[in-house]
Amino acid sequence: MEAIDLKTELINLEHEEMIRLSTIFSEILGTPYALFNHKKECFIFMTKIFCDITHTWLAPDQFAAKSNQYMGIIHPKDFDIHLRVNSKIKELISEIYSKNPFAKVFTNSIYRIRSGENKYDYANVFMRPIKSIVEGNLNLHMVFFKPAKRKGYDRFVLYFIDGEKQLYYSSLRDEFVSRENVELKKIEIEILQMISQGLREPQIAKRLEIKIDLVRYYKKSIFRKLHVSNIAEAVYIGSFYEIL
Amino acid sequence: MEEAKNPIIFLDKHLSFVQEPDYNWYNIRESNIISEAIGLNVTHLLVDHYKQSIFLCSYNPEISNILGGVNGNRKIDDSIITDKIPSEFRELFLNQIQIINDSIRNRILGDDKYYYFTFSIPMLIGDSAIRKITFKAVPYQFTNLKPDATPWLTYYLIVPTSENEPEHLILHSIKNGNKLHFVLRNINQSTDPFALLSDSDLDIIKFTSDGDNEEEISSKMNISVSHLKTKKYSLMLRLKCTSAAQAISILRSNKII
Repeated sequence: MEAIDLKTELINLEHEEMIRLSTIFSEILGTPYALFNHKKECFIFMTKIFCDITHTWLAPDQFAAKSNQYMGIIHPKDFDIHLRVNSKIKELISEIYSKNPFAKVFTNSIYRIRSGENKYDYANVFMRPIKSIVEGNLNLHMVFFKPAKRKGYDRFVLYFIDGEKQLYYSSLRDEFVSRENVELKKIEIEILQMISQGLREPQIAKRLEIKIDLVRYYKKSIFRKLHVSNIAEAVYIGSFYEIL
Repeated sequence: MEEAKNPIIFLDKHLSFVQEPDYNWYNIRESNIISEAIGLNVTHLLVDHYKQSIFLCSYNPEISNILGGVNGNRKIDDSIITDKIPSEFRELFLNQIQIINDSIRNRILGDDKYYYFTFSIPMLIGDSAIRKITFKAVPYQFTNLKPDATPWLTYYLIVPTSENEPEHLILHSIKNGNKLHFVLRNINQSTDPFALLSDSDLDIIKFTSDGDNEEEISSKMNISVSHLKTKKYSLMLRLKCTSAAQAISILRSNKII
């Protein structure tokens, strides 16, 4: 009995410390912070700025297991992809931490976040796992967000703080992938360049003197290699990584 | 990377550690604040009083520029910051850091750790241009989670000063929303150079400098005249001055009024 009580006391002290730091950092940075239990999919604490910005007001004892409140903060149309990506993030972070308990990672996702009555704006939502000395990994995450400048194609990104490559969510494969060192064939690069100049498939086929079916085949190959699901995203990624 | 040499100003040399702090905590907390710096494009300094080292994490281009192009995450010598402070302000800067360290170590708000400090100081951009920079200090990490734990890491957020931001050292208490203002009595005074004033103390001086008499001030502050007299007396004692005019002069020299 005593051992469990000590553990509970320590967990409570840890949570209190995270609440203290969230509150102070929220104030000095002017940023909305919240603590999110990844396992239970619910908020356990929101700073005043978070509540004010997301128009969410709950008494502390109402936080636990309020999944409907959680849904209310993210736009309903973003919720499905959020659930899908979130489950992948959980798997991936578990895997990362099992190999390296001192890994330093955080995620940046772009969602529409409530900013008023029936009003939602795009925001970069950062989530960072908090390791508990008592409980081990990963259930608690610190969340903060800022307005997103653009919707962005790199919509879900996992960052490694100590220099490893970033990972991006591929909706095509429903998993996180590394996007650098992509090997596009010369003809695939040419096709992508022509698309970025506004040419359509028949025009591309004519210029390259190949059949239109072949142009479509190479387009699919480009999507697969760049882990994208549409041509606009392919052009963006291509230019970002200086493939074009 | 250059080896850091003798970081001095930011360290609290009066702390005594019974044993080495748990650096597993350090790794976890450090990654937390680095992700903030990257995500929010801010610059911070993390002072480790046990290992006597300071780490700069700089993702704000304006601050990186002021600090001579230093960016990313690295151990530094405090001269990277102090060399950018005009010489006439360095002693003030030193005093303010010392006051912050003393306040945290002496548990200025008792067991309440929900507080932070702010102050602003001019810094040089290049050789001659000046920009006011605000430092926000947080008692970040203690050696354990108990109320009487030893301070171990102090966090400083470094941001360009926004308009109308006060320059003098202020302690912000988050739980009750109060502010305590550190007023420099005499920069040449080596011991006890600061007085601590509350918002209501400042109000008394401000109303006095506006020409209000005691009845008018007590009415504005919703207190009795005798209560006002007591507060005024205590205030003069703390500022070590003998007249309202002298008190006003001290506050003006601190750029508080």
